[in-house]
Amino acid sequence: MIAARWRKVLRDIAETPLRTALAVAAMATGAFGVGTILTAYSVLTRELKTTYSDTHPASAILVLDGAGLSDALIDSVRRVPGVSDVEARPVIGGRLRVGKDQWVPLILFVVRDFHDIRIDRFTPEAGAWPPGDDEVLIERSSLSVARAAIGDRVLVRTSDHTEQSLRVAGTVHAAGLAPGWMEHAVAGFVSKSFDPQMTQMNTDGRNQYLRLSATSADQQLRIIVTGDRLDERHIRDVANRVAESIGKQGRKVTRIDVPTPGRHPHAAQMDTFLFLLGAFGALTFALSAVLVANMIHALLSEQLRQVGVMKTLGASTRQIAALYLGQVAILAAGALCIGIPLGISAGRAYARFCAGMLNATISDARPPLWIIAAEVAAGILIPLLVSLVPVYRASRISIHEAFSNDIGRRPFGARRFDRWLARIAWLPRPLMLSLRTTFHRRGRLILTVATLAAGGAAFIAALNVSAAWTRTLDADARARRFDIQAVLSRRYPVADVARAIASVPDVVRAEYWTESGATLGESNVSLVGPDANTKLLDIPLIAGRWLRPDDDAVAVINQAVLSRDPSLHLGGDIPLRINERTVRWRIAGIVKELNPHPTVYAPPRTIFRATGLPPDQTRSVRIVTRQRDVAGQIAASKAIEQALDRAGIGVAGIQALSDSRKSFTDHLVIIKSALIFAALLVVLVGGLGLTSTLTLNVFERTREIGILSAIGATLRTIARYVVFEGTVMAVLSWCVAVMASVPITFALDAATGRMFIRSTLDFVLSPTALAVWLLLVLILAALSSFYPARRSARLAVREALAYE
Amino acid sequence: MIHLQGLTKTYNTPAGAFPALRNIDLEIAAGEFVAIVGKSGSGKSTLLNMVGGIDRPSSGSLTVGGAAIHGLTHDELARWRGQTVGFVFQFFQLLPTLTVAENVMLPMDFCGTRPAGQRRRRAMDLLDRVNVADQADKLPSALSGGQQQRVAIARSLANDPPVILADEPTGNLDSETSVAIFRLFGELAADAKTLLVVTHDQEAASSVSRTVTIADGCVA
Repeated sequence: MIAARWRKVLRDIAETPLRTALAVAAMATGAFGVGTILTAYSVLTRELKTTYSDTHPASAILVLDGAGLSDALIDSVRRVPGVSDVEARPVIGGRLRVGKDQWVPLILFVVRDFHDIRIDRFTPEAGAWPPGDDEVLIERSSLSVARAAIGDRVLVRTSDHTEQSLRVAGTVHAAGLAPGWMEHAVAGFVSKSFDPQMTQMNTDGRNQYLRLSATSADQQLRIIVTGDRLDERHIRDVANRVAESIGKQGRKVTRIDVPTPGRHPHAAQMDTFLFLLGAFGALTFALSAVLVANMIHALLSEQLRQVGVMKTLGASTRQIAALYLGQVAILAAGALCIGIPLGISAGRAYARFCAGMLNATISDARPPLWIIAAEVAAGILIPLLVSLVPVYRASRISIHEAFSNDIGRRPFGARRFDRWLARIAWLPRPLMLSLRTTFHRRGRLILTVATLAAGGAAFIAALNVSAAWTRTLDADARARRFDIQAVLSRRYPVADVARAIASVPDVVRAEYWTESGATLGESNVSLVGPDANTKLLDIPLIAGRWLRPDDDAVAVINQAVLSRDPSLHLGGDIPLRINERTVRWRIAGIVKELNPHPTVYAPPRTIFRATGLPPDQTRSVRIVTRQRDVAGQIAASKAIEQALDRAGIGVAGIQALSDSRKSFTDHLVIIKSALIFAALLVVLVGGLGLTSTLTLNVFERTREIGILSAIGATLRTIARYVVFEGTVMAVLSWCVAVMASVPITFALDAATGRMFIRSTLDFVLSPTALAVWLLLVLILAALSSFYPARRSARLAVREALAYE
Repeated sequence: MIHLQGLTKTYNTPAGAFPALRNIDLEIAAGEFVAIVGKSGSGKSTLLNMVGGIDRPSSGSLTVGGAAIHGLTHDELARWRGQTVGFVFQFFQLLPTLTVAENVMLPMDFCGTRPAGQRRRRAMDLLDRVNVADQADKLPSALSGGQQQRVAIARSLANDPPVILADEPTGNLDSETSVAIFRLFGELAADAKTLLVVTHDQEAASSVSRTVTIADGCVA
């Protein structure tokens, strides 16, 4: 048999269905929000890690000069101490035709044995496996970029203009590759018949296909090391030993790439994204905790008189506290039953969506058990914890205070602020009453405003960060004043290229920049030598100045260089390895650009001298077109392609700036999705919190509304009075939210910027976010005050006055 | 049974210190049925609250049934109150979400005075005694004022306390019901309960064994 006091708890829950529903809904949305984010976070963290490590990523990639990789050479590499496994996988760079004179970048991996892929693995997805001699398997995320379907034939052109038509035999999933749609490039896998070494051997004419030229291929050896595969230094040591061993066999290793061990190529994106999820998870958690505190405050203030009665009947503080904590626990358990399953399914769906964005597959979308356990524990414990203080205070209340119904409340007029408010006499009386009541119930006001402000701050911050990314993107686009960048297949005389380009009527201006590579410590950096008088680049400076026409042995670095070597500073030297020599250039400026790749800008003559490249040749052209819109850029790209073609100049790639911007925007999709997802979640949790808080606020005042009715207030007057009060709270909360969103935005701008572009984002306070939230709180405040007010005003006066 | 000596209660209000009770000496024997009368604001209810341990005196001593209640802690006071004092209020103060019988069982529940299995029978006996046993399973809102006050009296007797305190118990009832309630109080006094009733009802007050008049915080 249940004791009478516990029956009271159950009956209180059952007899006030609206209030119970509001409290449960508020807690359930909190549990839902936290559950969604925790689930998505845990599933993604686990699955992204395993999906990537399951591909057996290469510890290092060695690029060899010359053609062919013999089995003997590969075997010798396998015997080098520290090498666990080795696989030859030549890579052919080129382009794939997607329309008339329209090409997209293509990278073809030559796989010697599709049945024995041990490093950088990929799995069949659809169609045939392995591909035939004139077939290609396309990575699933780049099929849309290739604008092809399985069975279609695609035209492939390598950088030296060898062309071949290939049949798309099927698709594969290579989880270790960045998604093609994001990179705006196609990745394909072809059989060993494309292996330059094989091509050389098959000179007897047995091979009927036009082979792709060997000169366009990178002879790549992929190795996995023994021992600690996450130790970059160890990997480099092993790779250097391999290079030495290859050197002794008369071949030369021209480049060693060591991808950051254990890091997916899009790890920065994932980190940023998971960080945002985590940050908003914490914010949602805080929001739901305040919400619960608010609920309990409302619940207890309604029960004060009953607490008094129970005390006269001999109830101890502990018994009363147990009753109310029990009630909170029951409500919280009910909320969990709704919030957690919903949260988990939403989290799983979101995890799947994000995995798709990152070209990963979720093989197991179940959140780990500890996550569910943590959600249940937090879902019960948090409400209990936040209720401890108010429950304790209410249980300790003296009977006298309980009956006079003003626990710890100082009479109006006791504070200086009250007296100041009391002097405002020019407002209509009902409004005056609203204002004074609002500020009199200070504890209530603080909790309500805190709940609404927590939601608002999170919402505004999410949209602010999103706006900051957009602005950063815009600013970067404005810094590059050319429309098209063409990269040639090799160096051509500037005069020839200029002549070809000049024949295109759409071109207004063209500049021929010098580009090369160097290493800084162990990082590869790009060397860019813009035209001495360039008008096409205006990258914002963080420090120092831009290059001057008379500069020499001077460099401007971007912040990505700085993050590779934080000891670099303005006025100091940057030591670069070029052609096995170290050069030192004075750092004249540091620029901030979106490009996360380390880039060193230097005068062309400085680069020519260091690299030994001929000054009258070029590989890259920046072009300004007449029609600068997207259509104009695409039309001009085609015309330039044709013109270069006619002049016999090989093109490695032509990219319109609108396209590269689109590619960068696509990289941000997942981050923006996290922000929008967070904003929506916050609107849901915050909106519900706001509605329930204000509704309970009015319930609490039923007696007061009864008095107003008794002295002649009409329904309309009361509604106006209550709605005004809701509005005052909404506006107050909005002000607090705007202020609170500033530090949150700063923190998120700094953190996501550093993770992704290695520089903090510029702070933006999104006017849209401010306006939308203000509108939302005002509408919700009006609605959620009006209905309970109407209900209260319709209660008979006597009923309202006796309202418990 | 009840012994007050030099009892003073002063409230600090924004308007200054307000003496509600001044230096009260009062002795009430066991089984006495005492009416406390006086004008509104004279201090009658304050006096009752002091005796019931609802409010604490500013100075003076107060013993009820031999216990010096001015020295008890918050929780000791609650336990003492549950077992020693039964309260009856002007507005009944039944818990709206509990049935009539459950309201009567609640004090036993809090004080653990009876085995859980016997509480309902005890509640039914008490309800029968105040003639509302037939309403036992209804919610208070379904009862008339007089019936609710009978339930409140049954509840005050739940733990069989020696002292019953009632604050304007008939203030919200018609005169016929008031008389019936006072008759019920008379029966309790005959059962050796000590009753202290604050009332405005002159006619009803005539049935008591003693009347104490309070004026401006002093025994007149």
